[in-house]
Amino acid sequence: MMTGPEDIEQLIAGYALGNLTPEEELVLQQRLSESPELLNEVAQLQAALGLLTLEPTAVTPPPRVREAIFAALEPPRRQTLPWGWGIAGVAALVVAVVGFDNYQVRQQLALNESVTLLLQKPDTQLVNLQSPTGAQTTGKVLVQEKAVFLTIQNLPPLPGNQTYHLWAITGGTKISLYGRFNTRPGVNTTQFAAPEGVGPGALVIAITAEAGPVTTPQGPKVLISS
Amino acid sequence: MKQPLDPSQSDAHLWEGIRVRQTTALKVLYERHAGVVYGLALRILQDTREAEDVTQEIFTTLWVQCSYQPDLGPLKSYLLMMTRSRALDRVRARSRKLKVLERWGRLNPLEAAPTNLLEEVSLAECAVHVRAAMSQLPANQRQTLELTFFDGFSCPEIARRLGVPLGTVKSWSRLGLLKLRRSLQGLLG
Repeated sequence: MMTGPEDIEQLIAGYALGNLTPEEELVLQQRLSESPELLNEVAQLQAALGLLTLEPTAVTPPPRVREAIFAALEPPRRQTLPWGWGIAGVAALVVAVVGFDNYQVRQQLALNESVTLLLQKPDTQLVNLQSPTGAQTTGKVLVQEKAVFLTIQNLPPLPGNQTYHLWAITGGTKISLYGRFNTRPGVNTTQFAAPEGVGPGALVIAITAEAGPVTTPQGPKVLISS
Repeated sequence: MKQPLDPSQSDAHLWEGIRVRQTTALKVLYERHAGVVYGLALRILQDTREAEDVTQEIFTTLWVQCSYQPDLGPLKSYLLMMTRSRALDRVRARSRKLKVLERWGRLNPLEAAPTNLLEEVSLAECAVHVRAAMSQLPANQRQTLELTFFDGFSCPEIARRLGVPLGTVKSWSRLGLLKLRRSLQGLLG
């Protein structure tokens, strides 16, 4: 069994690389409990591995990437939807979400495929969204523990810095932000990383139109779970 | 309204611009970092279209999400860490090497790096050191590390691919990482 300093080094390297056998893991755990200073070695080797991220040569992406990013930021026309949020005094929330529009239809196809697969999983919540004003706008939200998929129809783009916000109400009055997004013609799917602890089980899901990034809903509600 | 644009502004200054919704700040950051983001995505995904998507996703996310925290490290490190994560997510979505990629999920290597490292030394300079260190590794160690880190292959998969015993692959990768660490000691502090 490995025990010498060089052997321990190799075990730590194996840990950083994730290729230890169960027996090696036990040995390493034992040594780490006896010599906590070895944790510094672990951190160093993980950091060395992380530096490999810098190894690839920089390559200028095609101009269409830049165009796609900034086209999505251009101010389109706005449709005003008056409304007031009905829940007051809600605690502020911590947001860790991702929102994006991909510019190619094949992305939507891939996402639709993903959604089909995800629906087969037991820890999935599928919610239909409707307009509170009776507009033709509709949406579906697929909530998983770590991901939220949104599909919307007939939701007009917001101008300037305004963005739509997707919210979840859980545990009575706790409001959490799934993510912010805007719409563009031909793109009707968006994906977010679910905030910690805000997976399936939301009581209400809603989309508001906000003048800028906010952490509690302030703008008009444009879609709400039915 | 057009904002004054100063390409010499620091990433930290430009990040403040993003926080107050200045698209010009994002444009400067894109010009500054899109190359490394796209290069890394391309290296991992080996697919220009997917690398383009990831690049778009990274910068759009930076703008929409606004979740970068300067006290956790330089912006460029954040972008690269996110790029690698997103690119490997796509590799995982291809149903390749699921198990080994799950293992990578527990690591945020650049977050683990000393945060002052990448602030004090330009990342371009770091990249030169990393490439030099990799080039100094024996070919089998370098190849094993690359297949593990950039391609997400497990040791058994690498063993089959290279036609060598599993133990040899593990040994190569571990020795390679140890040598890499020694070569990069000056950066790691």
